[in-house]
Parts: sequence; structure tokens; C-alpha cells
Amino acid sequence: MKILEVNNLTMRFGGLTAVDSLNLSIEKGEILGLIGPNGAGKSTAFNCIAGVYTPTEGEVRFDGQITKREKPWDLCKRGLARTFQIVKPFASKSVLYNVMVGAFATTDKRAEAEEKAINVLKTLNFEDKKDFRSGDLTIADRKRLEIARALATEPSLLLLDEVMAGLRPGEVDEMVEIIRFLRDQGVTIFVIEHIMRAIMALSDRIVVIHFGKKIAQGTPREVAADENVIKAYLGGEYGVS
Amino acid sequence: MTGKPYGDSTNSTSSAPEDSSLKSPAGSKYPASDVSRPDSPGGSTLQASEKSHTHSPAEEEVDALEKAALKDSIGKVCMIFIALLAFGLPLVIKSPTWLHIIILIYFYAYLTSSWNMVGGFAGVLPLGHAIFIGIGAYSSTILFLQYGVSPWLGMLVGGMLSVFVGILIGLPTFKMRGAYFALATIAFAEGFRVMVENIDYLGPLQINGPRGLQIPPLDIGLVNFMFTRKEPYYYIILIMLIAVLALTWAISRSKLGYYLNAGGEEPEAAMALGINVSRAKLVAMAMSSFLTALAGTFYAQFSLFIHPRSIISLDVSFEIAFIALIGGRGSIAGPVLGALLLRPVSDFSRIYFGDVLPGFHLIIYGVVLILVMIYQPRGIQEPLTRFYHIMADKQADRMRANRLESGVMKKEGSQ
Repeated sequence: MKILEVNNLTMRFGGLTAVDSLNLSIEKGEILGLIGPNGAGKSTAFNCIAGVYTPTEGEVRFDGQITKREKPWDLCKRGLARTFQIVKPFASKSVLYNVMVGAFATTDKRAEAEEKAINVLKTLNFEDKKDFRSGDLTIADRKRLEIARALATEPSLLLLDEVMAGLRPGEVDEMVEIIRFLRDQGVTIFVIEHIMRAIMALSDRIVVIHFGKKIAQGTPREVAADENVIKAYLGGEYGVS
Repeated sequence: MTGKPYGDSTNSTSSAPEDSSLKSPAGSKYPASDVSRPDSPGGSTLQASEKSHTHSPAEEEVDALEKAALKDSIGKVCMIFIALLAFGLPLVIKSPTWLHIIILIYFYAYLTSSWNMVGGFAGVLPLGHAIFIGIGAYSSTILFLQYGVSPWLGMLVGGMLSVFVGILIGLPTFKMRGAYFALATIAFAEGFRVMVENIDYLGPLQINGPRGLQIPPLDIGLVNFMFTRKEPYYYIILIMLIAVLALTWAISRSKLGYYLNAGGEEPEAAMALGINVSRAKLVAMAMSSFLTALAGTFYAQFSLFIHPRSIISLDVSFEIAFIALIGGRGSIAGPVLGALLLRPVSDFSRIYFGDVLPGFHLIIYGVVLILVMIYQPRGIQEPLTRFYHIMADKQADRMRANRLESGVMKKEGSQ
């Protein structure tokens, strides 16, 4: 069963076509990676899927329903959560407060929200920092907070936008573990990532885009061997030599 | 029960009562070391997670819980004390001038608390709240003068009208950010003032343009919201202030409060977490404008004379923002502390410098604002709250130490 289907998605900003007739789909319980050079349109694609932008053309189906005109908060209530590439913690508030904001998506009661938030923090091994001001966290912890907040909304599909950028190798490994663990919990995961080692280890399938167009898809092994992908990343000359 | 945490402090797993009776001198040592435990810079929220080496996590938790309960009761005692003080004040202070000054302190604390729901929690800076004061004051006054409706009812009518206007203002302006929002709200308020100044009759309603409206103090009494003495006004505004503070407290702990804070700080992240930020802001705006209008009616009945320049002026809007920024935006105590600090400055500078240097208080406001923004960007409530927590912590430790000691003594006596 497909949880997300993207058909012919196109997003234009004036004369710039950031995403160009993109097609992809994700099965329930899958980890799908989306990679591409800087400026390839990955984050724009994410924003279209998450309801931030209304796509110029094409449609997005989440859980079988077309998402046109649905706002980010509507989609979140339906089970689509996301993190941001540039982390956006509610900096003056504690970690617990941040996660509770997410937990309020599924409940109106404060006590219940707090309980849910604590549970999320526990599963992410983050509970010891619950009273830290989120603006004081290290970058690794802020990324983890992004995930915790998104997770507190109890999503069925989680969009992760470069949650490993800027992390040390040890922290990357830890994050890979976390994402795998989430998948085992039944959350479908769609991840943008630049760190090849991580995304190769993590993804079931990978979609590669370049200048907004899909240039390859397949298992990590297939994608890594694909000529177009190598060209896109290293430049045309390398493909020839 | 009291012997347990004490026995824990010696780090032994043997039965607590025996332990405590054997090593009773240590009973005074333990709380002493607890007192000297450094208070974390982040204030109260951090202390629970702080580990002290002699305790296991579980023991630490029991300790923290007990301390939190003690601190809670200390807080309650403080609140009751302040409430008694506030309610008893008119028994001590008889001078109408002083009462007038205090009433205006409460009035501005109330206004700023109402403003705080939008300006503090929702993270925008409205600079036109005088429009709601004006709507409240004019609604109740016109209804009273022309139709004989009790100002108490007129108050609610003004409130409803304000909600309507507040939402009309909020719908287009909440899409703007930062200074643009502030400027837009100023424009609305000033536009409203100019309109009121130039309209003598609005249909059957006599507005009287720049001359304003005077309420003849004929039928004095509670029903007509008119009194010869200051005390009734004092208690009315005090109760209104307490009510708005309680409401603010409830909101800050509710889903709406979390949503407003989140939407104010990082709107995009908030939206992704399922928050319709504009709607949350509109709800806050509706409440804020309703409450502000009630204060407008209060002011009209208190001064018995309203005119556009005094009641819908930018000065009032700015003063509210000044008080909020200096006291601490988005906090519950901030507006009260700000009003306590700034209102006397304004009143006394008017009394002493009014002839020589009119507007001198605004210069002082400016200087205070600059100093506060440099040294305490989150307002004076922050250092004061921190100070309160340190004192409450110490007091809680002292109380627990006493309790432990007396517990030990009892046990020794019984053996």
C-alpha cells in the first residue's frame, strides 16, 4: 500500500522550475532517500509535499487522498510530519515544551500532552535534557529535537530534511540508528540527506534528482553505480575518463 | 517518612530508621550541604535534573518532589500575602490622590496583561490597543447617556464590538511581521481617533467629536458604576486585574498558550506541527480586544469624561507597550511589575516636572527601556523571578531541614 504518491509534480518560481515533473511513491514502512546536488530541488519537493507550497502542476496523494489546498497543519493532523533543514526550535523554551507543542496535535489536555512528550523523549534517549533551554542545545541535539517534536504529532509518514548535516561521524551513526528504530515502530520515512555513507546505509530505495528532474532511482547499490548520478555529482568530465 | 531521605544521604541501603538514629549529628549536616548546592543559572526548571553525587537518581527524585511541594506551598503563602496586602491597602491609605495613583497602576497592569495575550504570547507588537479602549469607553458611555443602559451591560457590548473590530484588524495584519504589523495597528488606531474626532453624530448616536462626552454624576451607585469615593473603583479594577492574571495563567498553561508561543517564535515550525498560527493569533486578538474594551469602560466611569485625545491616543498605546517591554513580554508577572515601576515615574514626573518639563516621563521611559533592553532583554521580571526562586529554594531547604531534625528528635525520644 502506497502511503505517498507524487505524480508529475512541478513547482515554478517565476522563470525558475525548481521541481520538474517529479514522480515517486513510497510504500508503507519503507525508508526512501532523496538525494541530489545542492539546489537540485529536494527541499522544494519536500515543501510541496508538506503543504507549504501549492505545486504549479501535478498532484500529491497522501494516504490515498489528494493534498491540494491542504495546509501544513491539516496534513500534520492527518499524519504527515516533517523536520526542517535549518532547525527551528522554539529557542526560549525548554526541550519538553517544544515536544509538548507537537504532542498537542493529538490531544487538548496538557497532562496527556506532557505524558506523550516524555514518552517520545524517552524513546529518543533524550529525556535527561528535557529541562534544557532548546536554544542552548548543541546542533546534534537540536536535530534530535526536530525529530522528537515531529514524532510527538504521531505521524505515519515522517519527512526528514537533512537531519544529519553538521553532525560528527559518531552522531551520524546514532541518528541512523534512531531512524531505523522509528521505521521499526511503523513510521514510514522519507529522507533528504547529503551524507552518502548514511543514506546508503539507511535507505531501502533512493531517488536522485538534478535540476528538479529525476535522473535515477533504485536500491542504494544501483544508484551508486548509475552513470547519470556520477555525472551529476562529479561533473561530466569524470563520466568520460 | 521524614527519616527516609535523610537515611538516603548516608548512601546506605540498610533500613532507614536505624540509620537515622545512629548518626543523628549528620542530620544537620545534610541539609546544610543541600543549601550550598549551587543554584543553576537557568532558574527553577533546571534544578530537578541537577545531580548531586551523594544521591542516586531515585533518591534525587524523592528529594526534588518533596522540595517542589514545599516550594509550592511557599508560593501559595506569598500569593495569599500579596492578595491580603492588595485588598487591605485602602484601609491604610486614605488619601484619594494616592488611591488614584494606585488605581491607575492596576489599570495599566490590567491593560498590559490584556495586551500581553497578543503582544506577549503571540509574539507580535500591536501598537494600537487604544482603539479598543476607545470602543469600550464610547460604547458604554453612549449607551448610558442616551439609552440609560447600565455601564455594566455597556461594558459587555463594548467588549463584543471590540472583538469584532479586533478580528477585522487581525485578519489582514497578522500576515505581516515585525515592524509592519506594528505600523499597521498604529494606522488603525490613529484612523479611528481621527474619525471619532470628526464625527458629531453617527446616526442617532451622539459622539460629540473632539469635545468628548461627559457623564454627569447624578445617580451614584453600583448599578450605574459611579461612586463618590475611590475605594469602589479600587476594588473593581483590582478584581478585574486578578481575573485577567488568572486567565493569562490558565492560557499560558493551555494548548492555546503553547500554540501562541510556538507560532510567535517560529511560525513555519509551528505550522508543520499542526498549528493554524493565524487562527491562534485571531483567538488571542479576540480575547485581548474584549478585555481591553472592559478597561475602556472602567476608565470612562472612573474619570466620568472621555474625549478622543485622552483615550484613543497613541500615548496610551505606547505606554502599554513600554510597560510590557520593560516588565517582560509574554510573562504573567511582567505587566504588573512594569506598571508598578513605570506608572509612579509617570505620575510623579507629572506632579513635579509637569509645568517645567511636560513629557519628561517619556524621556525617563526611554532611558529605562534602553537600559532594560541592554541588560535584561527579557524584562525586569526575569531577574526578579530568579531571585524569588533562589529565596524560595533556600526557604524550602531550611524548612525541610527543620522538619528532618524534628523527625529525628522524635525518633530518638521514642527509643
